[in-house]
Amino acid sequence: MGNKQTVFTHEQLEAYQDCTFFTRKEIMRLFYRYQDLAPQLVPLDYTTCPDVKVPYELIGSMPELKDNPFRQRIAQVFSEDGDGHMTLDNFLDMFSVMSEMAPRDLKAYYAFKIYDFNDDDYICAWDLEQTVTKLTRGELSAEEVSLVCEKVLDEADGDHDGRLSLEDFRNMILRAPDFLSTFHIRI
Amino acid sequence: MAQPLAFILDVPETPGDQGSQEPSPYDESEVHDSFHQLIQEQSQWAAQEGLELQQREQEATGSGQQTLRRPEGTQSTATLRILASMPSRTIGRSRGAIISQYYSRTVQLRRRSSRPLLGNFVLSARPSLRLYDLELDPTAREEEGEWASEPQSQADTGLRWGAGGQRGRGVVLGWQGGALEDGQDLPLPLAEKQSLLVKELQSLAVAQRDHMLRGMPLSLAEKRSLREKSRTPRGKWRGQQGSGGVCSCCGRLRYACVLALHSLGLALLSGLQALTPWRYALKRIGGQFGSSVLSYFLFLKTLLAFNALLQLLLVAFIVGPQVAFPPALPGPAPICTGLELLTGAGCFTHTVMFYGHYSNATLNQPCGSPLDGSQCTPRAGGLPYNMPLAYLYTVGAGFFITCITLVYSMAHSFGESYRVGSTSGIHAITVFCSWDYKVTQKRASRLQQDNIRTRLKELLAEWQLRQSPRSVCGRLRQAAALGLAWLLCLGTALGCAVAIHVFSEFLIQSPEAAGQEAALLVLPLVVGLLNLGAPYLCRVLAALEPHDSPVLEVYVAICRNLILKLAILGTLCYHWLGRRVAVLQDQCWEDFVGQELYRFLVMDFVLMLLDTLFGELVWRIISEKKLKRRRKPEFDIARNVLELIYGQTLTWLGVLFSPLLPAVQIIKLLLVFYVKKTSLLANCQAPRRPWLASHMSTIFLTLLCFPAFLGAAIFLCYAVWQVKPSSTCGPFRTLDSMYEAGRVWVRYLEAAGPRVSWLPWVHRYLVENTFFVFLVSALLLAVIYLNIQVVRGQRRVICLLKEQISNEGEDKIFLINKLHSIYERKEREERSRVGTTKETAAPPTLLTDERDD
Repeated sequence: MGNKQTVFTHEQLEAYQDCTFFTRKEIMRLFYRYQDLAPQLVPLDYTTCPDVKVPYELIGSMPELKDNPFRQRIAQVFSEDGDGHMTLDNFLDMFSVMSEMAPRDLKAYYAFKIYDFNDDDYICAWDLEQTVTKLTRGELSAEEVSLVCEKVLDEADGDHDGRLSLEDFRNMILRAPDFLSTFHIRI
Repeated sequence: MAQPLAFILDVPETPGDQGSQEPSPYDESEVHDSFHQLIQEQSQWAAQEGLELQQREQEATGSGQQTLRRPEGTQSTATLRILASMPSRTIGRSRGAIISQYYSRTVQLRRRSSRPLLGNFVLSARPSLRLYDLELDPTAREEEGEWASEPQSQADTGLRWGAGGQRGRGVVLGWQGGALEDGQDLPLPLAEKQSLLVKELQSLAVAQRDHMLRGMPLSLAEKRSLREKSRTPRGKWRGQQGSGGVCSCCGRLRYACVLALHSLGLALLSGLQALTPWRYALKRIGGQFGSSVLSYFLFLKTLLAFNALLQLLLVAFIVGPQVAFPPALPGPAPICTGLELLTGAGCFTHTVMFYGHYSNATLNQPCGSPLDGSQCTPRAGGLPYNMPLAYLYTVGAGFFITCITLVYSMAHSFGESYRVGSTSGIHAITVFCSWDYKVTQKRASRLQQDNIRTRLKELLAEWQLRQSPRSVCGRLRQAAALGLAWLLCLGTALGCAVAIHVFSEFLIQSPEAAGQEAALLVLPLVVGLLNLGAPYLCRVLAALEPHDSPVLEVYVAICRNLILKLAILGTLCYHWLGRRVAVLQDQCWEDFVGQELYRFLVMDFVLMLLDTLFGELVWRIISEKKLKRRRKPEFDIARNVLELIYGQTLTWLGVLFSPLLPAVQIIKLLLVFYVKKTSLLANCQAPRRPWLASHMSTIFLTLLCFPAFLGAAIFLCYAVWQVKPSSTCGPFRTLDSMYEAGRVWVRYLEAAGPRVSWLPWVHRYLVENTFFVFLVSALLLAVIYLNIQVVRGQRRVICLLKEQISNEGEDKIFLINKLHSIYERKEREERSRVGTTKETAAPPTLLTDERDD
C-alpha cells in the first residue's frame, strides 16, 4: 500500500474530507477496506475516477454488516440504483452517515429510509411488520407482531394518518437518547 | 345546485399557480371555512336520505379521536389516490426537496430572522400552524406545494368539485392528473433550486458551508458537485483580486492565515484522533457485547482523563518544583523490602509521594526568608516559588477544574438523554432505536435479537398487566417484601459502618499492633472484604423481592450499593480526621492518612483482581464443566461501575495528602481496563436485561459528581479550614490551618507596597467578604431559574404544536371521510340510476372516462 498520493489526488482527498465526516487517515483506511473487498476489481489508483462498483454480495459480507438484519436495506439505501452495488462514493457515504460525528438529523433521515422497506416515503404497517420480524428473527407470533405495530403507530404517529412520515419518525427519534450511539458503526 | 357556485370566487384556476402566489393566512382560513360550509351543505343535502344522520351518530358515539375508516376494498381508488397525494408533514423526500430545504436553511442562517412570538399560537386557530410554517420557512412550503400538492389546491379541488355538482368527479381526477404532471416536470426547478442553493452556500462562511454540506442527506457525488460549484467563484474572485493587485494585501494575508490555521486545526484534530487509545478494543467490546457494556469502558476512559488532568496540574506545580529543589533529608533512607508497594509506608514515606516531604519555604531562594514573594509575580533573579501557596492553590485549582468539567459533561449528557418535552414512546423506541449497529458477531447479534424479543414481550405483558391491576393482597405482600429487603440492606450498611468503627477504634487502642508493617494492611483488607461481600448479599436479597420493571431493579441495586459505600467511607473519614489527628499529635498525621488511602486503593485493586478471577473465571469453569450449563456469568455493570466510583473517591480524598495518588489511580485504571477486557471477552456474556446506555452514562456521571466528588470536596474543605496541620512536617507546619497560608501571603503583600495592593483588595472583598459569595450564588440561582422557565416554556410550546399536528391530522381524516362518504353516496345514486336504465359499468373506469367529457 504505497503512498497515499498515488491513490487520490490532493483535491480529491480534500473534497472527500469536506463532504464526509472523516479525516484523511480514515478515508485512506476506508479505501483500503473497500479495496480489500474486491482486490481484483478495485484499482489502486483513483485519480482518474474509475467507474467501479463492488457487488452487494461482497459488501454484505463485511464483518460490520454481516450480522446486521438490515444489511440489505442499508446497501440498497446507500447504493445509487437501489440494487445494493456500491461505488467508493457510496461506500464512504454509508460509513460517513454511520460515523460518530454525523448529526442526528442526517442519521434519522437514513434510518427512516432503511426502515421504509417499500420505498414509498412512509413507514406503514407493512414496513413495521418487516422491521419487527427482522429484529426478532421472526420468533414473535403474528398477533404479537401486529399488536406491537399497532402500539408503535399509536405512539409515534403524530397526525394520526395511520403511517409514519419522516417528520413523525424524527420526532420519535428525538425522544430516543440512545439512537445516536446505536446507529453507529465503528470503523 | 346553484348555491355552490358562490365558492368558486377567490380560488385560483390551476394548481400550478399555487407555488408562485403565496396565499395569505386569511385566504386560507376563508377557504377552510368555505370548504367546511360546502361539506355541511352537501351533508344537509344528503341528510334527506338519512345517510349522513347515521354517520353522525356513529361519530358522536365513538371516542373523541377520529380514525380513518377503512372498510377494506370498499374505499374507492380515487379516494386512495387523494390520500396518497395528500400533503403531509414530510418535507425533504426527494432530492429536489432536500436541496430546497437546505436552501431555505442557509437563507435562515444568513438572515437569522426572529421567530414569531410564542403568544401568536392560539389553540383554536388551526391555520396558525400553517402561518407559522409560512413565515419561518417560505421556500420549504413553496417547495412542498410544487412537489406534493398544496393544501389549498386540495381545497380548491373540493370547491370546484362542489361547484361542478353532478360532474364533480371528473374534476377530481383532472386535478390529480395535474398533480402527477407536477411531479413529472420536477427536474427543471431542481436545477434552478440547485443554483440558488449554490449561491446561498457561497455566501456562507467556509466552516459553516462545510458543516452544512456534510449534514445534507445527499449522495457523495452530489455533495461534491455542490462543493465544486460553490467553490469556483471564490477562486475566481481571488484571481481577480490578484490581477487587480490594488486591494490590500493584508486581506490576502488574513485569508492565508485563516487557511493555515484551518489546516493546522485539521492536522491537530486528526493527530488527536490517532491518539485515541483502544479504538480496536472498544470496537471489539461494542461488537460483542453492545452499548451497555461498552458504556462501562467508556466511563473508565473518562475517569482516566480526569485523573490525567489532575495529575498534570499537580506534577507541574507541586511535584516538579519539589523534585527540582530537594530538601535535606532528615536521615538515611530506609531500605525497601517490597511490602512497601502494598503499604506505602517505609521507604516511601519521605518521598514526593506524600505530604510530609514537601517543604514550607520558598523554594529557589537560598537565602531562605520565609514566604518571600509569590508564585505569580516574577522578580529579577528568578521566580520565587512559595511552596505552601503553590500546594494550596494547585489542589484548589485542580478540584475546581475537575468540578467544572464534571458539571459540564453531566449537563451535556443530561441534555442528550432527557430531551425537552420527552414523553413515553417506549414501543416505537424499542423497535426503531434498539438495534445496535455496532454489533459485529453472529452470536452477539443473535443475543441482541433475543433481547429485543424478550423486551417486546415484556412490554406487551406489562401493557396487558396494566389492563388488569393486581389485587390488594398481592400488592400488600409485594410492599412487605420490598420493605423487608430495604430494611435488611440498610441494616447491612449500618452493620458494616459500625464494624469498621469498632475495628478502627481497636486498632487505635492497641499501639503494639501498629508497629508492624503488615498490621497496617488489616483495616484496608477488612474494609475491602466488606465492600466485596455486602453487594453480593444485596444481590441475593434483590433476587428474592419482586420488581415490576427491570430498570427499577437496576436503580434499586445501584442505590443500595451506593448507600453501603457512603456509610463505609463516611466512617473512615471520621476515623481519619476525627480520631487519628488526635492520636498522632507528635507525628505527621497527613502522611498517615495519605498512606492509608494509598493502601485502600491498592487493596481495592487486589480484591478486584481476585473477584475477577474467582467471580468470573472460576465461576465460568465451574458452570461449564460441572453444571454443564451453556450460560456464562453476566457482566454486572452496576457493581463494576460503583467500584470505579469508589476508587475515584478514594483518589480525590487523598489528593491533598499524597499528590501522586492520581498517578497510582491511572496505573490502576490501565490495569483494570486490560484485566476486565480480557476477562470479559473470555468469561462473560452480555447482560440479558436491556440497558439504556445513554441514561446509564448520565447516571454514572451524576453519581460520580454528587456523592463522590462532592463528598471528597467537603472532606478536603474541612481538612483545609478546620484541622490543624501537624507541626513536624509538610508545607503548612507552622500554621494553624492550611488556609492560613493564603491569609499570611495576603498580609505579606499588603506590606510589600502599593504596586500589588489590588491583590489584597481582591482577596478582602471577593474572597473574605460574604456579600460577594451571596451575590454570585444569587446570580447562579437566577440563571438556573431562567433556564428552568425557558425549558418549561418550550415544553408548553411543544405540547401546543403537537396538539395542532394531531388536530390537523384529524381534520384531514375528517375531510377524507366526508369526501369519501359523499363520493360513495353519489356512486350509489349513479349506480341506481344506471341500474334503472339497465346499464352496467365498473365505477373506476367510468370515472376516468368521465374525465374527458
